[in-house]
Amino acid sequence: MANIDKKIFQEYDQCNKCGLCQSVCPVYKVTKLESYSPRGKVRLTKQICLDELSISKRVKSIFETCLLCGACYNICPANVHGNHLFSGMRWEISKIYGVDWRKKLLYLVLNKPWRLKGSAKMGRWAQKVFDPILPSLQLGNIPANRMPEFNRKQFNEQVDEIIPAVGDIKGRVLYFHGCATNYLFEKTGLAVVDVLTQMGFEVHVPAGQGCCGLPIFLSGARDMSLQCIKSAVEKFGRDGFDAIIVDCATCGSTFKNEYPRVLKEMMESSNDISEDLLVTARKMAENTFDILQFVAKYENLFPEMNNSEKIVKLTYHDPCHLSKGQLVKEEPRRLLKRIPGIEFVEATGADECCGGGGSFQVDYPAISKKIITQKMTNIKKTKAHIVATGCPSCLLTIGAAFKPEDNIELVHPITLIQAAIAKKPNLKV
Amino acid sequence: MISVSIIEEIIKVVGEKWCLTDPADMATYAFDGFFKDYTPDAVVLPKKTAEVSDVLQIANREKINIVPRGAGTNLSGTSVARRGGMIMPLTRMDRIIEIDSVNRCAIVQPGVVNAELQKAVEPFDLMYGPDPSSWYVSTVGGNISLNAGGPRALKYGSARDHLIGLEVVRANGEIVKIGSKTSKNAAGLDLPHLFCGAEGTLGIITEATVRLIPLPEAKHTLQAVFGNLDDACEAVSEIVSSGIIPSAMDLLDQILINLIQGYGGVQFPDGASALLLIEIDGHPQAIEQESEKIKQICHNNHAIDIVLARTPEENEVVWRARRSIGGTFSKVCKTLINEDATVPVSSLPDIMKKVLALREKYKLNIGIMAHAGDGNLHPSIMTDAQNQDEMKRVDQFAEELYREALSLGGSLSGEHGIGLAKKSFMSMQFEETALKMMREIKRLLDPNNILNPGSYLDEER
Ligand SMILES: Cc1cc2nc3c(=O)[nH]c(=O)nc-3n(C[C@H](O)[C@H](O)[C@H](O)COP(=O)(O)OP(=O)(O)OC[C@H]3O[C@@H](n4cnc5c(N)ncnc54)[C@H](O)[C@@H]3O)c2cc1C
Repeated sequence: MANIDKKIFQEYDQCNKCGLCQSVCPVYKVTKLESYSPRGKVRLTKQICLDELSISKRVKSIFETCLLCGACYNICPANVHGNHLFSGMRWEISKIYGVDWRKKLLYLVLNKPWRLKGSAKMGRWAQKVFDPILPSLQLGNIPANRMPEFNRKQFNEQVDEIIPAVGDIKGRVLYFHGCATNYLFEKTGLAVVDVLTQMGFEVHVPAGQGCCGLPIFLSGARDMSLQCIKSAVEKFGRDGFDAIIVDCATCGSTFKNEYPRVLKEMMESSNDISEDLLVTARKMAENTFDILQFVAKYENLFPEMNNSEKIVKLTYHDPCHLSKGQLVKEEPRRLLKRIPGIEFVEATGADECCGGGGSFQVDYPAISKKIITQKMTNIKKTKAHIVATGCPSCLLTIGAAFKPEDNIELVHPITLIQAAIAKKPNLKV
Repeated sequence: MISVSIIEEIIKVVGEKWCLTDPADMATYAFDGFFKDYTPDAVVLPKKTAEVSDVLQIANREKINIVPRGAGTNLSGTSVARRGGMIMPLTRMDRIIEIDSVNRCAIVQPGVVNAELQKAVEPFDLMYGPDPSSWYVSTVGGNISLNAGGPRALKYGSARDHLIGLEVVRANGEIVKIGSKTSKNAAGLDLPHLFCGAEGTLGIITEATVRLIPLPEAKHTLQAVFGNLDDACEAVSEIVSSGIIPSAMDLLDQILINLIQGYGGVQFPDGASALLLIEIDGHPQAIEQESEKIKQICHNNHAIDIVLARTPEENEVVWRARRSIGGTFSKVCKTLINEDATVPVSSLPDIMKKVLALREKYKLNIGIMAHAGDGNLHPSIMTDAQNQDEMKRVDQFAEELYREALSLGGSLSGEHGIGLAKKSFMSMQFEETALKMMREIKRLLDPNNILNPGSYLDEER
């Protein structure tokens, strides 16, 4: 690996081989194979950088067998960023092997907003046409008939670009709604806008937002993702706003952690990236908040919550990109516990990955299935009827795992908050 | 090298997925917690005893080396294929077969992770005695094979003290069951204990029956900080002779204190030169009194700060930081070598003085950790394996350290085993007659010398 930029991977030298990462790695726990353990992957990274091992199909598949959930970094006493090293390795590998054509197609779609729009319309059409045969179609572990329906109308066509605050204005925020809210989970988006405006914030939803780019660059296709990153930085790196709000744990952690790092790494290996872009991305990173983190910070601005006679049991799942990626764990729980009518039950292993990991569940369904099965068992033990989690990918993965007869509903926590502070009669949804 | 036809034969036993030969997989099994790498020719992961037996028959016939392996966390270089051949991780055999709460024992497969066993027996108000700091990762099979013990070995003993039965597969593939579930057993030779600490050289453990002990009702940890090491050692002696048996008593010097400062939120005051973590467990009222007494002893010995952790959460914070030491070294050095000299507890101050003197003499960066209550000392040498001059001094340091420990009536290892790391010192501790006996037992059980050859013994002599 002659022209690899070794500086990026230097952290492999810090690994002490203590193996503590094995105890939290969802993939190791179900495979029990050192090759898949973070410690093993760090060793591979080292040997590849030192030219002691060459990149091969097996190396490629090993690095793909990772959820990039960040659990290994979180527990590592030596602070080795496994997730960064491994996504960097995927980049190096993609330079040799390219990217799988199925993924490539998906990324081409994600890469440009107009293409996304087309594909969502296609999706609706496809859902209708294929409905009768859907039960037999399978996307990894997600049966096609357990995919949520596409939004009838894209979320960003349902709201204005600027939505005024209710009452006195307390501040001004930019809202990045990501792909999932735009095409699949309109309820989340409407709740975000509703809660924020009721708390007194003017919400700006820049037009023409696309994909944050994370699924693209995590697979290794960094150059392809640059277009997404540039577009997001241009739209959200603007001055004059109190915060950039993100409702998707993954997009949020991308803004906060990945943009500055990925841009810097790409800059060093001579891509056409300006210093300005990096500076703006860093500024943007500091101003980004997960919706729950932001709402919790200004909890005092909540209108009064409605009372509820009915009590439902609820449990919370920590999205990796929120708990490990953004270290937001306490806020969502605090908010959910405040909601009248909710009995909060903590599940064992609530902060363990659900096994989705983007396209991981499509590429490695058997491993993914073992992980999600453990998650379901833990959730069922709580006897909860609602599982709240602020990540579209987790919503999809966990949602699809349960059957209708399990009587378990998956929601983004913000929709529950919206319901609790809704003026009667309900304002919007 | 193992021939293609033999690999195919092994694949027939375990399946293609579990017999690996790709260089990438080999690289990930080329190391353990020690710092010397040896690339194996194959990695074979059996799922059940019968598979272990079949693979051993093939290996014995073909004289292919087999190194059994748990989680690969040992610190003595004993789960690597130093003479080539295959690594056999038992990690997939990770089922807890039975928890017998009435007879207070559990039957487990060797790949069960120590902490998982602890978690599983906790609802029965029971625990498994051995608590190596690697317990979130290391396996029961590995614990037994290295006679591991953690901080609480002081009160509860090491793996050996909790082992009552085994199923092992011999080198020739024969499956043998030894020991029983009973807490008393006076029948025949005590074979299970022969395999404890054998470092995988006598057979492969495929099932273990271990004793469980009642979970103490309550637990306190006193975290006492001292301005100098002598005071801390003095406190240790006084506590040991006071009649209280703490469940754990770990000592850390200033270098290590600085290393874990801040991990998981723990903070130590300025001027902290020695840290004692003293855990006592038992009846809530009894330990209230005992912790008061220990606190007094620490005070009398000029402790500058004493924190008492009462709740399980508070205890966990204190111990998690302590357990993290092993992993934090890489922030400050390339290679860490953990010595394991053990002396009768009354000689602790002597050996401590010696370490400090040797640290000066050989100009090495060494942090000192000790399971102080049982005289088990872990000087942690922070070095760089590439630096040959320094490595020479490391070797000299170790040799002098162990010579001293042995002259005080001690042992080469309290818990990490011998392995590659200390093999050359064996003749310092054992007379030739004893070594001969070990070699003869090895030859009897493994005539072709295929099981982890070269670990702690040079068999061919
Ligand atoms: C951070 C850290 C802290 C540690 N703290 C402690 C501590 O407090 N106390 C302590 O005693 N040790 C400690 N250790 C050392 C190590 O974790 C223990 O020795 C542990 O028992 C090794 O278990 P393992 O599953 O990793 O086994 P491995 O390292 O894989 O193997 C150890 C030995 O057992 C043999 N073996 C494994 N499984 C079998 C089997 N089924 N049949 C036959 N032979 C087998 C192997 O061949 C090898 O010789 C620590 C290590 C680390 C990295």
